[in-house]
Amino acid sequence: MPKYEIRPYEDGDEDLILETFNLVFRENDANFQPRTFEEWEWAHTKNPGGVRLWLAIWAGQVVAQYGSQPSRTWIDGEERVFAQIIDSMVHPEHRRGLKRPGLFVQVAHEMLSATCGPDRDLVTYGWPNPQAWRIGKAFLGYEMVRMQCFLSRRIDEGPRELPDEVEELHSFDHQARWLYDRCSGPWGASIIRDETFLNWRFFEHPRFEYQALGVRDDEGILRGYAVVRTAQWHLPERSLIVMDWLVPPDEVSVGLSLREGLMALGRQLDAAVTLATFPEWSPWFARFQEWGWLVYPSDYLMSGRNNVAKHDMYWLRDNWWYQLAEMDII
Amino acid sequence: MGTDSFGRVSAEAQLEIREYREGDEVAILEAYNRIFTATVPNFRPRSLETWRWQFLENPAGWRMWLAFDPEGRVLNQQAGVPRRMRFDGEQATWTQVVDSFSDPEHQRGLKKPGLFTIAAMPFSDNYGGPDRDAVMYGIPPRDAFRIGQKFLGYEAVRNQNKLVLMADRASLGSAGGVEVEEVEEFPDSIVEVFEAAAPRFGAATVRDATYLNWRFRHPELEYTRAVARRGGKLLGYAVYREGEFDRARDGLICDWLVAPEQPEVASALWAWLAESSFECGVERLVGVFPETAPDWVAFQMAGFRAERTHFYMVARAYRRPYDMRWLYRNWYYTLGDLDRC
Repeated sequence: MPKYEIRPYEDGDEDLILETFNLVFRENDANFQPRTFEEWEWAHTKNPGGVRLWLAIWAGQVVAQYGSQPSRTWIDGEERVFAQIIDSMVHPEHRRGLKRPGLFVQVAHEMLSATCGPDRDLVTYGWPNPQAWRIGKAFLGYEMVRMQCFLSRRIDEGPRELPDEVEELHSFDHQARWLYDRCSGPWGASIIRDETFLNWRFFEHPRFEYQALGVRDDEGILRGYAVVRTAQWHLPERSLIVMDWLVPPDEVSVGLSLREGLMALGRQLDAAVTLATFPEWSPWFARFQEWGWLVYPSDYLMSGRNNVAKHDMYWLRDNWWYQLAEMDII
Repeated sequence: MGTDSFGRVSAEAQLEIREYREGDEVAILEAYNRIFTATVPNFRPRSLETWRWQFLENPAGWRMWLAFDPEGRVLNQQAGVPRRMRFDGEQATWTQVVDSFSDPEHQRGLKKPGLFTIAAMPFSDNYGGPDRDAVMYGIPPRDAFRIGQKFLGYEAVRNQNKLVLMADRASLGSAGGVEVEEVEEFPDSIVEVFEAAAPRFGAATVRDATYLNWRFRHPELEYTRAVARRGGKLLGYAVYREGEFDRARDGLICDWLVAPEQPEVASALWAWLAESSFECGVERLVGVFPETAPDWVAFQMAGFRAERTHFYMVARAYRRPYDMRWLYRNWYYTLGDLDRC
């Protein structure tokens, strides 16, 4: 049985990681596009929340990886970290490496025990595929937060120009945090939406192109924004996907302006439908339904792993605000 | 004999743990009503008649394991309400786990997890299996889910949402040519609706007259039932009751089934449900369905909105390869498949 070295990522591992990554993720994806160094760098070393990557090395090769993408999170009145599990993999020739539960679980255990706990990363979460979910449930403490529903509405005929009060944003500034602070009061937990997080997440992404729409008041203060991208994802048609929506729920007129902006942008971009998601407890979940969005099921499962008993899946389901911004693949 | 290191008989060893036997019901009800009265606000004690209806009169049988103390008191119960299912094209039995209770005054002296699982373990071992009850399910309270997850193999199928229609938001389509009739009893031909609808479901309770006339003829609860016909052919039905679900009192759609591609039948039954509820002063009409149910979108088109409930639908599958993902995608159920209406 091979003797693996299991350790955190070190500067210089990138090429080996990418080599295995592009081998593993090509396996079941006919449309796979190899990940570039810039994308890897964006996902990990340029993440303002930090790096969490554990590797299994054998014969000069990265043969397994378990990692997360940490984000500064406001929870219970203090700043902590929630980390999205991403890029987990085992080289096909090493899937039987080590006795049960196997190499993948061993690397995961090393990473989780080193980075998670009541005083460290508070919650890890992710969108596991069925295989990762089975292993995660059995060996790593994964639980279901929710089966993710999406809100969808067809983009009907109408204006293609943005409403006068809606502008396209090309970057976020300090006002994003003001807006976040106005919105996040009722939320038990949420990744902090500030200029650092938002610019990294959307405007510095090396592959996907996102567009942000904003509404300001007469004094130029940002009152709400929506970040979108178009893709043929989840639905068979080209969709305008709402990646992030931040509007105080009682400022309905701001929401209405952004809604009209979304529809106009969708028409410009030849999208057939819009797609969004909100926690069911959010007033926006109800409001979007009033606006004609219908709720559809999906096979996407938000899984969680908590390190403080209070933050169990019921609590996360009922208190944690997240958007598609919290999904790395889109 | 379970003894500790000093040779004392352990608390577990003093309990008699066994399946239900005729005559146990008096002790069961005494414990059930005593424990839930002490722990559940506004708890309404259960009558012997209701208990007999739920368990002994269920056409699919009963499931019950109990732990008795030496004085014959029931300290722990795990019970289930089985249902005959159409499961991936075959007949099977699934069981809704209900009425889990343990006497909080007798927890001490027991090894973890204590009384909670003393009856649940043999319950699961004896009734669950690929050729026995293929799936056990329920919407347990948070604590029961935690224990079940840890010791009994429970897993979440979904966070359970509900569909809600406000009185002023109904947007019903044409019900042309469909007649809706309230009935006291479902006719035998009701199974035709099930047979027409069943191919769309991977799993569903067999909704025949035997099941429906048991499920919705409750000794204490009043249901109203309506069937929908076109040209004399039965094409759908609904069952309604005003009651409490998910911490609110609403008009409840207790059961619902419409043959495929029959939007007028659905409209006619929604109109009947709206009349039954809103005209009696009820403000909200509520149904529980999987989001994967064929009518989920149609309900929304009729004005219903999705809302969260406080529950997870939870299950344990004993037959491979069926797992929670499969149940999520393929299982059709309504409030009537639960003991919550």
